[in-house]
Amino acid sequence: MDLHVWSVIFSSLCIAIGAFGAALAQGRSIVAALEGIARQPQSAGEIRTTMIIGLALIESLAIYCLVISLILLFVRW
Amino acid sequence: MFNIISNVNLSAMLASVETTVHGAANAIQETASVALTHGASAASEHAAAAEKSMIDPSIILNRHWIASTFESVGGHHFVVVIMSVIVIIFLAVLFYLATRNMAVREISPLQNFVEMIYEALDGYVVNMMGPVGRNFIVLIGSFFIYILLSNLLGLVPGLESPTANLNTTAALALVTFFAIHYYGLKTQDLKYLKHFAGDIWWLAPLMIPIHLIGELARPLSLSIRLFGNIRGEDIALCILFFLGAAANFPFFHLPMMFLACFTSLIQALVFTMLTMAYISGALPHEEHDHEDGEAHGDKEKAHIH
Repeated sequence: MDLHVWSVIFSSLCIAIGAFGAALAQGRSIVAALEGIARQPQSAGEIRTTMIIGLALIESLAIYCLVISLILLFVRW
Repeated sequence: MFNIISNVNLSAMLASVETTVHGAANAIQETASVALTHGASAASEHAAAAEKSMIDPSIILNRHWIASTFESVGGHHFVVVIMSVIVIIFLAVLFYLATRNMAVREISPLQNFVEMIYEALDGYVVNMMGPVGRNFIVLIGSFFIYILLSNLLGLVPGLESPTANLNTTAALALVTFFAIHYYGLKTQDLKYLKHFAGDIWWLAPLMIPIHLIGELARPLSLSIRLFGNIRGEDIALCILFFLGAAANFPFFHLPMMFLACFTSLIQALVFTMLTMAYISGALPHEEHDHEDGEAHGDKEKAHIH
């Protein structure tokens, strides 16, 4: 097959796998944060800010996958 | 309120830093594309391949219709600078008008609005960093306002987000990078360098490279996160818009528009929040509870200035 076709296939695989892992990790962290807030509602603010930082760090991995897949997709092979 | 005036100065400074980083990031992009096309002449292959494919994806990636207007002046990177200058001029004029005739009573609506922004930022920074954060509100606040407006600028048809380009975000992340180490060295002197070695002295040969790589990864992840989010959001908007146009179904991209407004705010929050977390990690951290937080903050404030 043409190299361009391969790059399209693998760029979609790249973002799919990256989003899968990041989604699982973000779900776990949100579950933990919600349990913490339900147990101690007075510390909701601190938990929320820490959670958002953690989510941003996790999400950056998915964004790296997005960047890689964009490179695969838009660079002419 | 004078902080806001220096806010404007900082955004001007960001612009000048951006133009210097421009060249470096440009060179990186060039080498990357050259390496990816196996050392062949990248430009000619691009041109040849562009005619081969049916839809030119660079319409989505980097060529707005307004971009092609300035193509003859300085290439498509020039557009980012123009968009950035639009944001900076808007902010400068807004804050100049708001702070020109400041009053204690009979406050003008504009001053009221800007004070509202300032108080929100103040609460945000103090909530995150403690009272020490008031020293950094100029930096953090201008980051927040500039990034938020830049993100939202991309939602206006015909305009482009300055932050949807790696040059801008790399400039912002480099400012953060140098600010972390500047404040770390300023407040702790050589003790700051000691924390690179870790707690156990005989593990220092292992810990120093790990810490150095960690420090270098910070601006990388900051810049690529912001760039990837905003660029991905713009591409999704563009694709949905063209889908709607192809299916003769206008405003197909409207739900994505709301989501994009939300992500713009979230990304501005995340960038400033991480900046604050990094800076407060570099400051001397003594144990303090909320009772003597104010006095503690004053002590550190005296330490910094």
